[in-house]
Amino acid sequence: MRHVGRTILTLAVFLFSCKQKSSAKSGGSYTISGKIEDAVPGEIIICRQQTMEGKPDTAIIAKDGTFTFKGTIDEPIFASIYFPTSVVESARQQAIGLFLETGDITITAKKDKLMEATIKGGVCNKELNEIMEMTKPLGSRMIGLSDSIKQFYAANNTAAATALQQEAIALETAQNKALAKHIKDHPKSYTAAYLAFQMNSYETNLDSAESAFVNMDASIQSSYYGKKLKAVIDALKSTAIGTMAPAFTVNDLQGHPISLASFKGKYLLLDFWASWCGPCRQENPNVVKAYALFKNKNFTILSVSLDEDKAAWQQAIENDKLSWTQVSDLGGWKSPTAALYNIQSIPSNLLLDPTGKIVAKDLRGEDLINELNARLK
Amino acid sequence: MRQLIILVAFLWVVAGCNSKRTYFEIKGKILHAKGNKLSLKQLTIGIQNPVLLDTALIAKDGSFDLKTFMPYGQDLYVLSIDNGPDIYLVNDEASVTLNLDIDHYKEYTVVGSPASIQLHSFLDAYTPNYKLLVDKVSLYDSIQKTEASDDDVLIHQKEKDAALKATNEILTKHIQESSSPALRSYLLAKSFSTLDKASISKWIGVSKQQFKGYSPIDFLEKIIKQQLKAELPPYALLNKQAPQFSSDDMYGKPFDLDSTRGKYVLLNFWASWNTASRDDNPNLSKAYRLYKDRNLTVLGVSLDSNVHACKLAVDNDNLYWRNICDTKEWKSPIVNKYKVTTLPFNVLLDTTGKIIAANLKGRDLTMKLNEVLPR
Repeated sequence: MRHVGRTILTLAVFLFSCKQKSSAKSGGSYTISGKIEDAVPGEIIICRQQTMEGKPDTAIIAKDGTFTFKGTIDEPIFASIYFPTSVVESARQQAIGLFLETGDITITAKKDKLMEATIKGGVCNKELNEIMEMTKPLGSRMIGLSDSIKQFYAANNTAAATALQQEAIALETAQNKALAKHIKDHPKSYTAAYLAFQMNSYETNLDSAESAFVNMDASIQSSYYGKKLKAVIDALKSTAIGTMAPAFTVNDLQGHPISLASFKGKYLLLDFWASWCGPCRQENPNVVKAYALFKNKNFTILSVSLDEDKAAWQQAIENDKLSWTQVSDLGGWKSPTAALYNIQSIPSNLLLDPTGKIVAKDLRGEDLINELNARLK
Repeated sequence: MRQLIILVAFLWVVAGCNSKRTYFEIKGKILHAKGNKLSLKQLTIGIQNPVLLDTALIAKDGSFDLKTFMPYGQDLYVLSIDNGPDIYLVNDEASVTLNLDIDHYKEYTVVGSPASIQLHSFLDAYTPNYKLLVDKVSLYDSIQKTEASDDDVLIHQKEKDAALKATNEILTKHIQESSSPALRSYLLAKSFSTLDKASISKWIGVSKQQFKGYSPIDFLEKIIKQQLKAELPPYALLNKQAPQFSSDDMYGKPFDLDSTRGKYVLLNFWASWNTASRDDNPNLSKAYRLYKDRNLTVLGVSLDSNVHACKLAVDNDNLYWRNICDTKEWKSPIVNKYKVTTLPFNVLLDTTGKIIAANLKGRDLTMKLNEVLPR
């Protein structure tokens, strides 16, 4: 079942990103005046830029529920405002998403509904509000399709939700079309560039990513989100099936540099994972099985971890009994190796042939075994 | 796979669900398949997640044969073809034959299962209509946000409404004609997408009578009841006579609601200190500019505590109509009589003083005025 309203999710807050220097234009100072009436006075609230440059800003909730953030930016940047506790829970659903842009920005919100905050001030935020609005009405005008699907799920009944799958996909397609049109109609907008990046980094559709980029004004192409989109396009191109896998050298657990090139001559599964990634850990037994079945048939595995904590990484390798080569730049989501391959979610893998050419991608469960069976019999 | 089947079957036996038939067989031919794997899932609305019952391979000549325990009564089954479409089937007979060519999969044929055939003809009619509906809704949605005139938007609104009506007619026709409880519950689940809640509830009620004790329908009944409960009640004074009041306007000139009989009246409740009202004012000004010459009177009722603040906002926001400000804020008798609970709030009165609409926002306001006001 595809996610209903995934577009809404992509607009939501993402706390990971890659470092990138932004150019100095459309910048200036901003002041955010917020009010969360039901917040606890004295509580800390965090404002984090998507670029993750420098430390996140913190403020303290005043007696009347107000808080203030001040700062300067080089260009409008998406940021999230959240309570530190919400990082542990589902931060994505517990944060206010907004643009930091020159001028005064006001926020009113309820503590348990940060996603539904009212944000005022600035052209980027105005457009962001319009986009959020665009993602809403279609579903609700169709007399509550999304509500029904949610309720079917809440009643633990994916079967009933499956009956509405066709409708959900049709609505999502229409919504994506409307969003793509918005991007096309706003070639000079930072918000549209942000939207283009969010939409295209999760869909692996090179054509749509490229046409969005080509249509952008030069000033936006060189903006933070313009460059991010370009990086997605470059990564999609360099890791498309049939191309040669981009070279890298990363240290293993003992600190020895391991280069991708040293695996030439064998089929190689390049596996991206992390110790903190639940789905990766669930998938690991299957990877172990594949390794056991095919390791003597000109096949091996190179695992790249997106861990930041070396000890946790090492522990997971031991626990899951991963006996092949393990490397990590310990960069977490900022890992340059992951960026090189446009890894936006894990687990994620690529199968390389003995020449280093990418021959398959994202093989999971039975598919992995079947693919290896077909290639290595 | 066998283990799973045994486990599932065991559970049903324990649950005491017996059945006269023990097997459900699906056989036939699938031509031009991209992959050769088939999987069969049971899709019981309201009881569990889809349950994988069996997998099979398509033979070189395209033939296949799946046989599975069919532990209780009638149900919906999904046959998934690897790299191909999902086909929905009903086990109203013990053996069903399916013939399908991947290149024209929508034209598949079923022999031996009237309910599966009905389901197929439903999807044939419904799917293209639903897609058309989504297109029309998207178009209406984007047009109404532009500067297009209400007349132009109306054309799109009518097209959207016609598409919705056509889709719902197909749904209700098939609901009425379906004699299989499995098919019926599938159609009822589908109806949650486009049918209004009252109609969904009605059809679920009818179906419950017809298929007593069929649990998927009970599940859907539970959901629709929740939805109806969560629905906001309509404005209490809708379609009732507007409460009479008289008061001085903000310049001290007396105003009497009775004096507006013969005209349509838009009564708008607002306050200078309420940002939502101020944000709504440009839309109100636009409505006034467009429709003041079509027998419309606009009257503002301000909840300000101070006439000066009200006057300033009237000037600043270009509110060219009369405004009442009795400085009693939420304690104003007019606010009470009209049961106002949020700002801004408005009611539309027809020429006889009956409230014909309430709480009209954005494009809905001008669309409604355009619809009811004489040309």
